[in-house]
Amino acid sequence: MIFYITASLDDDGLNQLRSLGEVRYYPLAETKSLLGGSRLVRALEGVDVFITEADNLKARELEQLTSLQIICSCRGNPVNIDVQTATTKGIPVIHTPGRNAEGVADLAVALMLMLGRHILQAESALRRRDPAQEMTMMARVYFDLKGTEMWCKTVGIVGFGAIGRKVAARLLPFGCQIIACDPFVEEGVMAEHGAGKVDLDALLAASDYVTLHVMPNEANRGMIGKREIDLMKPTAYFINTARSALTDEAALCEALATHQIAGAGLDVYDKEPLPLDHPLMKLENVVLLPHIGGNTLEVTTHQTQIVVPDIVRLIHGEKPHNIMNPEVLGNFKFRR
Amino acid sequence: MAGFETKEDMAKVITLWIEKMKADPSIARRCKGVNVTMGYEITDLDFAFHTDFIDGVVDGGLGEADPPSKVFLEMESATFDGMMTGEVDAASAAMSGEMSFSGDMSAAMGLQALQEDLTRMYLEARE
Repeated sequence: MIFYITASLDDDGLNQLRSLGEVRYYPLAETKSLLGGSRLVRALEGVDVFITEADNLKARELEQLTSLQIICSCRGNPVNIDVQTATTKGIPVIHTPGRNAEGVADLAVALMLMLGRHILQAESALRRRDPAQEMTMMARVYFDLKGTEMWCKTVGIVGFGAIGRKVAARLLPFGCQIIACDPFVEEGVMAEHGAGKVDLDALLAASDYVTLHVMPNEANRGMIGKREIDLMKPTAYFINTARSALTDEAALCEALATHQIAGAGLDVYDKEPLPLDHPLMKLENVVLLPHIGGNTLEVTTHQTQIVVPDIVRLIHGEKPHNIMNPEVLGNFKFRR
Repeated sequence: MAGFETKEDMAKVITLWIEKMKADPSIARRCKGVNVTMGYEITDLDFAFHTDFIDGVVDGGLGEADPPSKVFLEMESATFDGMMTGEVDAASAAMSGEMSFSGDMSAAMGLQALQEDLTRMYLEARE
């Protein structure tokens, strides 16, 4: 069997696949090159398993691929794959929910610390000080940039899936109180992870930090709008490392510009990269990042540990843990 | 969204577009330091052409480039026309499968700064 791999996998995973067949490994991280259209079709001729992260495999390409048996998209939401056409062709599509969970959870906590301790402003004061007024700078930092600790702060986690739970685990040792809202997670499960279950309005009203960890869909589009922001404390910080579609960006920007809330840490925007002339760019109470949440070296290991065991399960006739189209499994048998 | 009826219709516009780009001082200035060659395959008309931006020199022609282009785009003529006129968003076209992208991502991004000029000259060529 032939594996064609353009996603990054670690050596353990690659060796496991090599024990099963021929591995053609051209990771995007090294090639910096995407495959699409007729070139993708040519590359996948005779290939049994395609493991990708960013190449677009759509209906036109899928219709021409006769040997392909398994598709793996190393993304939480495999938008690069036409899952419907794959389903029609009886091809299982594996995905990797949670591959970014550690990295995004780290970043959410980092943003909280940066905001609470005014790290960007303090660093800027040190670098850009006037040599003739060093004591003035020190006094300004001492009086104006006094920070807040995470100790005894209430952190509201919106969405208590893989990432939300990892955020909670990181924050509990700081002495934070964790509250969370998620209609799909029971109170007992939240309690096991040290969080109290509340509804969204109560969370917004009680939290010193509100952090979003929700998978966007049509039902939750704009779930944090003006009404919700109005419920937040004036001292509260808002963190979004999930998706901008969950918020009303204009309402958030207005609340930040008027200091209705204390600040925000943002990694996602309606338009990316955030335009240089965007009003958010002018605000000092916002930490702005260019969508780096899941961009860590360790994601390679995480996605390997998710995707390789699922491939092995499918080859052995077992049910994979992370499949987008489980309805194909009834008729699926891997051809060796 | 307008496309082209025939390969010959499109070839006329593309030839004129390339000539305009080659003669335009603004594009030459903006692509100083850029090294991107783009190959286009127009699937409904079985038509290929390429545009090359190499350190301030613009070139291009009909057919496939030799050596092969660093970036390849495949799409129908209407999608190409829509992308060049601004009616079609390239990212959305890629996600929907209307346009497929192969090749060097960073090279392609180097062309972003030229997009306004490319569109202006394409619209002139299309008139």
